[in-house]
Amino acid sequence: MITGIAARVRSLWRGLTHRSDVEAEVHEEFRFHVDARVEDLIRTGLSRPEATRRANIEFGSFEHYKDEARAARGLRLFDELSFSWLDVRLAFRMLRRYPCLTVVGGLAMAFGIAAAVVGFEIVTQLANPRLPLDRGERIVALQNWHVGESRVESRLLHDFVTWRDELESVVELGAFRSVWRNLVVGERAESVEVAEISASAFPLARVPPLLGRWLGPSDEAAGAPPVMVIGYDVWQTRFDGDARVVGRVVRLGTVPTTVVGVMPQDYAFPVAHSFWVPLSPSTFGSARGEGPSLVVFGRLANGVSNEQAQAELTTIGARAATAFPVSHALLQPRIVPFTRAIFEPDGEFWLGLGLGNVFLLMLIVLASANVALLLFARAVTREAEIAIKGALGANRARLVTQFFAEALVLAVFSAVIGLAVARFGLAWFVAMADVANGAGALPFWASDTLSLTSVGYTSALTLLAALIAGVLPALMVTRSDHRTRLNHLTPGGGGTMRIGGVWTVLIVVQVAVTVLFPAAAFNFYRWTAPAQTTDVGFPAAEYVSARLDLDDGAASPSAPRMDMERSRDELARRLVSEVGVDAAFSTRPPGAQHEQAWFELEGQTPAPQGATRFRASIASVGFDFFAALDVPIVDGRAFLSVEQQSAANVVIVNKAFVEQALGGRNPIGSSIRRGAGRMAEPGPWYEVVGVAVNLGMAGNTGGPGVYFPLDPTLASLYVIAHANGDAASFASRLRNLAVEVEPNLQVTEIMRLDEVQKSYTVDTRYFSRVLAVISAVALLLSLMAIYSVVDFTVTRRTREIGVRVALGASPQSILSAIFRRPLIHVGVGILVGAVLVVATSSGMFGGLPTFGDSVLMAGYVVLMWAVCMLACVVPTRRALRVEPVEALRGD
Amino acid sequence: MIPNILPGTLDLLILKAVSLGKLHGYGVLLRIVRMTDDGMNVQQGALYPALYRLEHQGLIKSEWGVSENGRKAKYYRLSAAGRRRLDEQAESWNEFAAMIARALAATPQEV
Repeated sequence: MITGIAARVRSLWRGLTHRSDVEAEVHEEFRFHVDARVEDLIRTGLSRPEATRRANIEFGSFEHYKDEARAARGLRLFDELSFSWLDVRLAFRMLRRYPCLTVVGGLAMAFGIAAAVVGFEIVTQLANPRLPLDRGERIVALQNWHVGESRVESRLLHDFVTWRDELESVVELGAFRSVWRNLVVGERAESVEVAEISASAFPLARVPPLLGRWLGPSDEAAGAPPVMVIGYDVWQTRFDGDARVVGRVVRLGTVPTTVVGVMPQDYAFPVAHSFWVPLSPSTFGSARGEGPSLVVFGRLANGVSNEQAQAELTTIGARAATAFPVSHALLQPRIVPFTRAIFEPDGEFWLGLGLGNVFLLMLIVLASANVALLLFARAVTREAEIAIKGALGANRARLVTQFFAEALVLAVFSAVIGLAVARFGLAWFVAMADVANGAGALPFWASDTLSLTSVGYTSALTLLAALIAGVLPALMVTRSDHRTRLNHLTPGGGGTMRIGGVWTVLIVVQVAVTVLFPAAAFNFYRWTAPAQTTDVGFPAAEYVSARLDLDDGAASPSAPRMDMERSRDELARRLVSEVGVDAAFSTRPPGAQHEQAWFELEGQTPAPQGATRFRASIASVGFDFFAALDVPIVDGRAFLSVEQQSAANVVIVNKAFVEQALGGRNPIGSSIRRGAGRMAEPGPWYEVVGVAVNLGMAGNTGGPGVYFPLDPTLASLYVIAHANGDAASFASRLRNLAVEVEPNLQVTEIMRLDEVQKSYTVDTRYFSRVLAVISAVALLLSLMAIYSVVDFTVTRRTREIGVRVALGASPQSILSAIFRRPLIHVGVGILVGAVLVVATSSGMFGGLPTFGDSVLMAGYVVLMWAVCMLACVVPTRRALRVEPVEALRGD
Repeated sequence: MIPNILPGTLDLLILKAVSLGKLHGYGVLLRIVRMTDDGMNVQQGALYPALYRLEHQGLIKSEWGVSENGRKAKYYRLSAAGRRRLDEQAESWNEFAAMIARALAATPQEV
């Protein structure tokens, strides 16, 4: 079977690539046969001429059997397609002869292919993630599905123990959870994400340690000495690659912990971890159905299918439901691929992703359609060549093949460039996603290289692009038969080709999209600009902010825990006494995106613009927040410390709130409250006691903000303090101070305040760039299309222009006669685009456009018109230079 | 009258011919004529498409050599796959022929 296929492929390949050699061999073989027969016949007594005649008759027609021979080798199909190297060579020649078309069309296709492949790769990776571990496809997660509430119940400490003891079809069963701990190495303290994980995870992953050992079962026992395994990067950065790191004792929270092993580079099981400590189920001591959230994982035993394992798990689940009806009656244990337990995209996510991919596919179709238009317009200049080819016997299929070959060669080049761009684009995308979510946040199975499936998809896209760009114009060009074409080529006949309805629609849509994209990019910028440019109101670069969280775990009996309020106060006290700076506390650092809420004003006579509800950013801040940041209270007063302790109903609003919500009225003494929502009653009334300067509470609406006194029960908040010049050294002092105050106080997101702002706008800046690139490509495509249409028009009507010039027509009248139709198309396109722009902007900003917006819009339309006219410059000059004598002389 | 070759049997005859030793195309023709006691009328040119088809399927292999009269000629020999195919086809052909023979020899008492 295999040898048969191999023989066929070899034979086909030889037949296709060495056609002339093979044919010569066949001829020689036939010749040998006939000559041998002649000799035999002569031996029977015939004369040579008679023997030759008989031999030839007995053999039959050489040509007939040569043809049969090609069919026998499976080459007939290729003959009928008549796709030969000649076509490819011809295609190369045409592409070289029209470099402008090649470059512009090729780039457009390459861009489309690159974008579509990146989109497809993301779908592939999400839909079919592959764990880069030994037999990773057999690693599964075990979950409890809550039937009543349609959700995963992840508090399964007791189930984990049961499963581990009873399940036979899933082996190396383990569990993990992610916790944040303060890691203190020498003098340096920082908050790190640690995997509390079963020792079985290491044999499960089958990756040997680089140094030392894995976690072992004995490490899980209650009372075992605390140990930790670290990742390669951590070993390099935190421990300077110290070869004697194994055995070193560091502090994790309050607990002295011994490093027992280093895992090799790129090992990050279960998700993106670099620190592993043992998970000891016995230490939690919580009731069934309670306790920490865990992910349980294991490896399907050898020879066990997913269904068999599920069946066994279901049986165990049924026993649990009978034994513990209160907690387990509605739980159904199930086995899912490991990656699904970490990230499970929902239907909406898939829909968004699917639509995104369809959009990218449309981009390719649009780019290819443009190349088709270019090829069609160029075909006008080759009409004579096509007609003559037809007259010489080339059938329609032959001509279509040639167009297709040309488009295919172009598409293949584009695909190669597109793949390269996609490769870097994907790496960029993965890097961006890492930055947006904090370094190393993508799971270890996210790959920044293209899969084979995606490369296969590229081939399909290439073929699609070539079909659209090649076959479409070819069919239109070869619609009339060659006799008609030849007739039309005679002097006075005019061309047969017309720009039809399809092309008209294409150009109008194209121009409309071109008008829309830069405007959308601009609107997007305007929409997000407040977040990007708001002045935070003080020298942000001199301040450092950090997030404080009180960790729940790893309490040590020797060090009683403090609550957040006391930790916070103690930290502020030590910052003043030891560093000499005042600390401010807030639920959000200035410059970050703030939570937003609706507010109502008490007893308001109609407020400006008739609205009584206002949207404003909100924050809870310490009573000394404004003093610590050294920003003035412009009216009224700051919070009092007693107001903070008693959680008094007072608020401070910012100047933007006064201007935008109150029309500049003095707000001191008036009351506001959180507005009623669909789900909530209105909040209690708060008295406005002060007005602060605008401190950059970034949000969609830009400005208005309301400050509440800090809630002492908050478990998480931000500290903001002046860095006294050196942000980096301040950061490490802050970290160390925090750990000294309370070992379980996590300090994360330490950054300068000006960086806070940037980190919140990473996504939008990224998206703006993508929009800008798409706008540029759309513009390029459009200009290309307009150019080709106008150029086409001039070529087709050269003779007519000649007649007009000969009859004394002025240049203006010639231009208006020749360019009326294409210019109408462009005009309609710009108009449609402008309407879309107005519609989307009013959707984004609400209300009707202001006078300023209208002027801006008019200016934009004129600008786009001018840009589109640029594409007409060359053909117009050509039209005006038409010499009547030349034009009328004919071809 | 010399019968025309039955459709489908030319391949079998070629395989059989080259199974007895490597041959050039004209030699295949002569051997078939000899094997069938001059009883088969093979259209000479039709031999070659059949040879190429068998070669394309990997049942026979070819190589260029020198003929008995010193000319360059293409020689064919059976491949391992061709040997298997020949055995299968020979068996089924023999069964078929025997069956037809039995049928034609049937007497009124037997039916």
